[in-house]
Amino acid sequence: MEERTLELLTRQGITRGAVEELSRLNDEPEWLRKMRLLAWSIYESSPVPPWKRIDLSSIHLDELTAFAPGEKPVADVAVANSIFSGDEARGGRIVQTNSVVDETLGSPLDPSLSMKGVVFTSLEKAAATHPEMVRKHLFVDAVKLTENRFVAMNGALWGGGMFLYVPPFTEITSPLQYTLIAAQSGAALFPHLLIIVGEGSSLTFVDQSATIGADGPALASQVVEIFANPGAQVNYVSVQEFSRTAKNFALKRAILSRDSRMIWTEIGVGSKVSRVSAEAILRDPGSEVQLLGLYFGQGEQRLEYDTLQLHAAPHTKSDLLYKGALREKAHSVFNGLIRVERGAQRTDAYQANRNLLLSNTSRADSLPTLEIEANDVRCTHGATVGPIDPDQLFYLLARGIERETAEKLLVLGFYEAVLQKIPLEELREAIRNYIERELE
Amino acid sequence: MANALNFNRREGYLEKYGFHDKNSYVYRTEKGVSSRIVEEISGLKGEPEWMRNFRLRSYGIFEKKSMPGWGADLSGLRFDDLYYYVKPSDKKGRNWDEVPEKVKLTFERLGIPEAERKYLAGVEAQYDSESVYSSLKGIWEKLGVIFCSTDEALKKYPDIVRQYFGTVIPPGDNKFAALNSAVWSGGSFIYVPAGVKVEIPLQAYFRINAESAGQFERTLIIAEPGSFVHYVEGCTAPVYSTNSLHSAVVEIVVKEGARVRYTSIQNWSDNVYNLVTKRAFAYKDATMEWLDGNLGSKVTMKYPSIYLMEKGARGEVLSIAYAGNGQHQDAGGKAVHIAPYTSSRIVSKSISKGTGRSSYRGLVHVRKGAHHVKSKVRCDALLLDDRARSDTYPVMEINEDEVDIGHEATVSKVGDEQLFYLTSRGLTEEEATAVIVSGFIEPIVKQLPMEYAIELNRLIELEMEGSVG
Repeated sequence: MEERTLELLTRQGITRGAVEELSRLNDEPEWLRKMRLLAWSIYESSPVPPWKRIDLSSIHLDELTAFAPGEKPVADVAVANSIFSGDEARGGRIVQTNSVVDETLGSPLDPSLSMKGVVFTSLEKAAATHPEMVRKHLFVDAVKLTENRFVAMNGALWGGGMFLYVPPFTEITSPLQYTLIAAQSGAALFPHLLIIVGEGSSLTFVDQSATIGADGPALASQVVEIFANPGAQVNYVSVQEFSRTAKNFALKRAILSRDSRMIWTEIGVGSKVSRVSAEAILRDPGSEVQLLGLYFGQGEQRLEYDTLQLHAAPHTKSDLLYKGALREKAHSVFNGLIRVERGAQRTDAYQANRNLLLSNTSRADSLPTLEIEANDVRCTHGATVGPIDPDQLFYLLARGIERETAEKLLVLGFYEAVLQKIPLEELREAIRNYIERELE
Repeated sequence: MANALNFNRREGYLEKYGFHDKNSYVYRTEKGVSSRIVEEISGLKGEPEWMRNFRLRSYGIFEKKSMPGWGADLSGLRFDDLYYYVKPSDKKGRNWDEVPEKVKLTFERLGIPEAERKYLAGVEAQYDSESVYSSLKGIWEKLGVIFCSTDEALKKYPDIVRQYFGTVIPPGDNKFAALNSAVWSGGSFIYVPAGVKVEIPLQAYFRINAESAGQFERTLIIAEPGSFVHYVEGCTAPVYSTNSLHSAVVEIVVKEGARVRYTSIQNWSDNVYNLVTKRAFAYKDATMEWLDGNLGSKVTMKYPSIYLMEKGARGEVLSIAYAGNGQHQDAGGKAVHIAPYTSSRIVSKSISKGTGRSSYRGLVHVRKGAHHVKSKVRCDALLLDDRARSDTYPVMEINEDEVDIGHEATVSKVGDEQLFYLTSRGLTEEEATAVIVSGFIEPIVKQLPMEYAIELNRLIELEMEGSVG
């Protein structure tokens, strides 16, 4: 019977029927089935998002399939080709191909960690094994089903996904990783990541999206919910390297409790169109976030970042640095908001967006925004757009370095300020190599 | 005396000083706006056919356009509740003795000349500056400079008006520009011939026989190649208005090598929605400078723009905003770089006090082909109360790589160290705050003509009184 449902499902478009079949296939509890159906009705009634800077008309939902089965043979190749091989994920790794998490592809959680009570599994499985925890966090506090059409779609159709729970006072020293591999063109993928880090715990987590074998995905709508409990330290690194035909939409939100600290890195080099919302909610005093972004656009890529530094409590701190280089006809949009709520005194917020235009057909839009409702604050932001500094180029040329090499060095140097802040050495090196390769 | 000086024009302003009289106009249209009213206005003014058609076409656009979906809250605005054309009487409106003592004291503090005070208080229909004006008028006329109301210009210089009117800001630009285009009245018309440099700033209230400070002013400035003019609109002292909507359009054409500076200090009473469209076209090697101050009104939305049309054009916007209790100043500037080798600079300083909210909203747009463009935007905001709010909404759209574009903004409160330093030298906290605030706006104030700078500083001091404790 399962085989039959699966077959039916893979032929389904984005429909209510697909939602019901998906829920049946996973043998889900009633509350989850209801949540999916609620999400579906929200999806149906919500308008196309008014995103002025992105053309959504090229997405034809009726041509997409809501579910794509996992593909084993290609998965290993994908890993080898990507920026970040995953070998560094010594603590454990979950691999999802298309809509399915295949445990045989990943590496299991370090047994010493599972003994401490760490849960690291697919979200589908966690809904069965840890229903209370999933129910308490999934689409409750961080991300709501009503945010926008794509999020509602994720709520209705998420498949595979990842659930990570770190109990209080647990230090995880080896990185954990989740890898999503799109291996079927025409598929729509809806990964959902739920990360709960207990009081006083710490970890490094890598969230990777890649493509193999085929174009795509035709559409990815990702949702990431992160909960940093009091005193937790979360180092979250996202690497988006879908093929340059993909359309990617992601809403990621982290809620930071008292004295928690997060370093949040977004690396974006893939997709034809990508719009990532990275939102840090500094909910309690003493919380602190560092937001780092590195994007590289080429061809006709369109990369958009929407960031939020929401200071909802006094004595909170945020620091953002997003840097991007663009060549050919690439176009980037940085839309960043620092919001300081009434009463959030002693806020210290910083935001900087730097763009390097490597061709006269590339384009960078920067919209750094401040909304401040408390007065005892220090908020600063800055944005720049410009070409490679001709003086620096001249300096290198005068020393006999060829133009091409000189330009490459200067782009790498441009990124270095962000790279040095990424707290994962292997990744720093991997990104340097990738950029260098692309600039050849 | 000391008590009287604690004049706060934001509180119960209308009840106390809104001494509007019922018979000071000779004619006004009925409430609301319709194509019939638009025709009536045009007819009363005896306008040529093309202007009548322009108005009617604009009215059609106004009806179709939706309200801006961004910016300040305009939900309190009722288009049907307004009078769109009021012809003022030449007779004096009210008696100087009727003017409240506190208002007189504000004028005293600001050092406003006697004659000007009467004008501002509505005692005189026009600022009585005939003696000053006639001598200046002689000088301007000899140079070929035209300075009159736009209504008058339409009669006397129809060809020039027709050539430029509505070309910088077409009626379809936005809803309020369309409304202004339909019902405009008054405003200044300035024409400066090639090579002429007007040394003395032209001020709106040197102009007689005009409905100055109108509700729907329409100003048009043409600076021919190599000329220079500095135009000063409004004044720093409070302007009392019973109209709840002020929606002006200001169009400026700065031709090759010319330079225009436009200074305006807006200080409407706190019942006014001030929604203004200001734009200048700067051609080859031309310079356009906007100095824009916003102190009054309930809500202001105003973003003076510069379109840099040809090589070598330069633009500057200096914006200063003060938002007290209940006010929202949504101001800023726009620089649109259409040609290569152009530069722009926008400097904004804002102060929010009480429940005031000041927002910087700006745009730097570099079009394809506009290489070697330089643009710097700098915004600083000072928050004086924990209920005050400050926003910064800059937009940068860059379509060319050989450019140098930068934006910086800071938001802060008055520094404790600065306060400590000044209070340890014997200043009260209140005085110290006022000193720090004037230091904060100094880079812009020093660009003002001296008498304005003095007035503005006094006004800020006045606003700061009672701000501590």
